[in-house]
Amino acid sequence: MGRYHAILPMLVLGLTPCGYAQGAPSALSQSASQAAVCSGCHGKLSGVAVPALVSDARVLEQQMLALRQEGGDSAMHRLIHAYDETQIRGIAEALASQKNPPAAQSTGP
Amino acid sequence: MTSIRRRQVIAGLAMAPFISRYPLASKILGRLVIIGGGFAGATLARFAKALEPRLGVTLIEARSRYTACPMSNLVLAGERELNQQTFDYKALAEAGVQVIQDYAVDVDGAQQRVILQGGERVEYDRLVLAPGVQLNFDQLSGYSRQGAQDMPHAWQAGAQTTLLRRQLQAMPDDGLAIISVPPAPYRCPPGPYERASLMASYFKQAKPKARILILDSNDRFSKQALFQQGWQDLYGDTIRWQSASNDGRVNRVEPASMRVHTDFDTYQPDVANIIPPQQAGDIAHRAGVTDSSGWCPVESVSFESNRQPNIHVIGDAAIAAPMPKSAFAANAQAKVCAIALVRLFRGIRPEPTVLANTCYSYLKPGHAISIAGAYRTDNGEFSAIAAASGASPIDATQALRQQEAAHAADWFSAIIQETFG
Repeated sequence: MGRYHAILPMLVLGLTPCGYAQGAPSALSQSASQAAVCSGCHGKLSGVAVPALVSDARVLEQQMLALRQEGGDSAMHRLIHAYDETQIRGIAEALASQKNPPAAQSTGP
Repeated sequence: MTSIRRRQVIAGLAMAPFISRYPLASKILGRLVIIGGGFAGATLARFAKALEPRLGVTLIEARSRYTACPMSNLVLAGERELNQQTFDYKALAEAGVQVIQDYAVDVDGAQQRVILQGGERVEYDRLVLAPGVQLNFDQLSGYSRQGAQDMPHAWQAGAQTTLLRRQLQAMPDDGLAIISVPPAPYRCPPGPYERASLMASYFKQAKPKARILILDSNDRFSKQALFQQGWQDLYGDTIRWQSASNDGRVNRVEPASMRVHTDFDTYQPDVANIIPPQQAGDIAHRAGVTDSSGWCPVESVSFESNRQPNIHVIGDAAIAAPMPKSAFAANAQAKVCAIALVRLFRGIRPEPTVLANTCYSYLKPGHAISIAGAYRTDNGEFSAIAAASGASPIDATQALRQQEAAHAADWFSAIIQETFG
């Protein structure tokens, strides 16, 4: 499984502003806003369950940077170029700070 | 279901002209009222309530159940059931959103009140309009709601989708189906070109001699090269596209006799899928937030109307070009707007962000293409980020097309979970 496939479900899970950890970006921050925009182009069918490292912002950041650098043909590979490194770090921190997002329990329609 | 039904409320408030679901009190940060429970409105309601539980959030939606347009073209192809497209508002009510099942017939911007069909009024501090589109039957000569029973638009998923599906099943094996595409902008999904693709997929199995003619009021369309390559590869000459410049614009229809007229030709298809011109939903016009185009200009960071203070417009009704009028865009705008609204309620200035959109289209079941775009919201306008925009490669492998179909299904699953729970 490539790094790309590991990152995508995390972005799916970055949907709902539940339970931000202390010290994490505010749920009202610019980073949280950018993280919230993702609506899960990819997810369960792409092959991965909820990854444990979703709470590790640094790993998440590295995976997002790798997604940008490795190239690829998915929509996410295109969209990642909208963000610079600072924004990616902020998005990673915003996503990692979320706890128990409802989308994680989705069984889908 | 904890939603408040209008008549139940009326019984207890016969003498009360106003319904203040959330009278201003110390425990309430403010009253946020949303009209329209589609991908924009329902997402915003859930998201805002989760962000700020002290906010009184009311959603006004006439329907008890919502039938989603994304994926509805698969229903036409017989690959999906309509009940897989239908969702209710229980999760919103359970999340603390007050759901009023009624029609919002007017907005009194000066008094900051929404007037419901029965005359009741709902007060707001900030109002979000997410009415989607309305179909302008009168902008196409000869077409009407009644005419749509013979020439279905199937642009509002539900009974019209079922009707068109049945017509496709009943048409002669060597029949002709016409799809009439209105001038842009129009709401998508369901996309007309994806629709043609999936109709052709159905024909290939059930009626291999049947043909599809797309009469288009436009000269180009999104993912055009990908679609046309896909049509050629998958369906040969089953699908023919006729641009506006090539006499593709339908200017009159006669539903009773099944005639479709362009400037120079008259067709008599077996099935006519007539998609009428569109503009912002009616309540947006009544609220005074539309411009001469029939759509709603908004400030790009907070989505507040340029025409009426304390009224925000998101989703299909808003002018957010170059963002398309898609479910993905509506959902993304809703979340960004929710954050902006909570900031405003707390007295904090909203900040620009980056919005995104992805539109997936099936060329056949299990085989899809996409176009993605990201958009800045600073400088008071929406602007595309060129480096992050683009479509699937035209020479993609079968595996990539399959992967994109899986992503489309994933996306739908995620957005439904996020919007309706």
